[in-house]
Amino acid sequence: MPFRMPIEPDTMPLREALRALRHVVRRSGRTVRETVGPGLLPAPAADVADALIREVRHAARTMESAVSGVAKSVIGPADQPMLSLERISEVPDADLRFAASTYAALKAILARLGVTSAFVSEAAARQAYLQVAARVPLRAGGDLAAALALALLDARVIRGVGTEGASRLSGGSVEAVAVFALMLWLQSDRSEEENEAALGSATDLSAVLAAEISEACAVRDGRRLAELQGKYAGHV
Amino acid sequence: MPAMSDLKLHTEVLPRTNEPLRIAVRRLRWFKPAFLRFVETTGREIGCAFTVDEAKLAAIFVRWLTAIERERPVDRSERKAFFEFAAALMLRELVADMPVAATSAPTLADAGSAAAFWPEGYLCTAFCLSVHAAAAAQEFHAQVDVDPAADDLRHWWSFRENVRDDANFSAGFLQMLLGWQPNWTMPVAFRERMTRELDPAL
Repeated sequence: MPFRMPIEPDTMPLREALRALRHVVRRSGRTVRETVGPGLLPAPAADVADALIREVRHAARTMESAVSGVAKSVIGPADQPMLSLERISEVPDADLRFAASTYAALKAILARLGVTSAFVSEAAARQAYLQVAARVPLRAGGDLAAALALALLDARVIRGVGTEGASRLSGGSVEAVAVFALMLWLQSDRSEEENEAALGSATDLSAVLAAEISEACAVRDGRRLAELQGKYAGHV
Repeated sequence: MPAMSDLKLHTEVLPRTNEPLRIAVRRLRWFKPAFLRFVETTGREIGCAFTVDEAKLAAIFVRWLTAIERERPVDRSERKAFFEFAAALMLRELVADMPVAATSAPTLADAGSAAAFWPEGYLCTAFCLSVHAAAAAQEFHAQVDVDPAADDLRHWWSFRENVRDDANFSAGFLQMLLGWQPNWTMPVAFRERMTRELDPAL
């Protein structure tokens, strides 16, 4: 009789909580540096502030290290291949695969767009997928991609975006452009070896189209988003 | 045997791909590394350092896609001519919003050469011709011979002067280097289509 694994517990809520904590810790460290950084206070107060900042930084580093360690042990190695949107719909637990791919891809997309801190919610991605899968045919191509993009934005899959002036976008919404790039990448025809290059290209293309994407998302123009997806998915 | 230019094409530096080149070239993940590799090779060849604005390059790629989609012929007999035309449109988009800048004088180029006169224009032209040559060889088993006009600095001077007023001039320049007599008043109208419209008997 073959050995059967017990039902694995759903670790997504724990992962989500740990990532949220890690985001808050990182963000707090930056806020302290920006608020009472060097040169912002006169001499006697600056000495006290410097000592305080050192203590806060040390505490933040210790906490982040602990949180990251636990988070990594829960998240585990990302050894699953990144599938296209069409293939994801064919696998069991499609919602979980979509959410995991969305998390990993959005982190990379946001970094390429110059975002220095952001929280990406895997749980929100899963919720968006389940919601759209219940009402849109999973082979609907551009329409499915557009519906997922709007659902991901509604679910606030990206939160707390910080760019520290390093954003590559001169206009438009970082969240909308990043989610559009994700869907472009998920729809693109690519091999496993091309995943990273395709993700970079999807991001670069979306950055060029930032104004159109942001405008379509702002007025929830799913048809326009589907047209843009259909036009550019083959050019990633 | 027709006379050929000394302008060097570098099809060997273009990234390898399992897809037909006509498809790969319309993917940014091929186009961008192809251009970056070309910049590196040309820089070494003419002894010149270049910087590339990658955001501009992506925007140029998108505009080029839009331009070729607009002009794409329905008739398959026009494919070969359209390949040349697509290369001409690529040069137009590159020169109109030049994504590359020379940060040093070319030390290895002959003083009277196009590469010394205008390194950026020379680089973009050689890139478009090289991509076209590679695609034409794959699709039509055709060899691309660059017209000797490419070695005449007066043409490059005219090219550089005219594109300041009209970016479309680039498209005519490239068609000239491919041995065609461009329609200089409308160089971005697909030649075959225009010929048919002017002479329906063809």
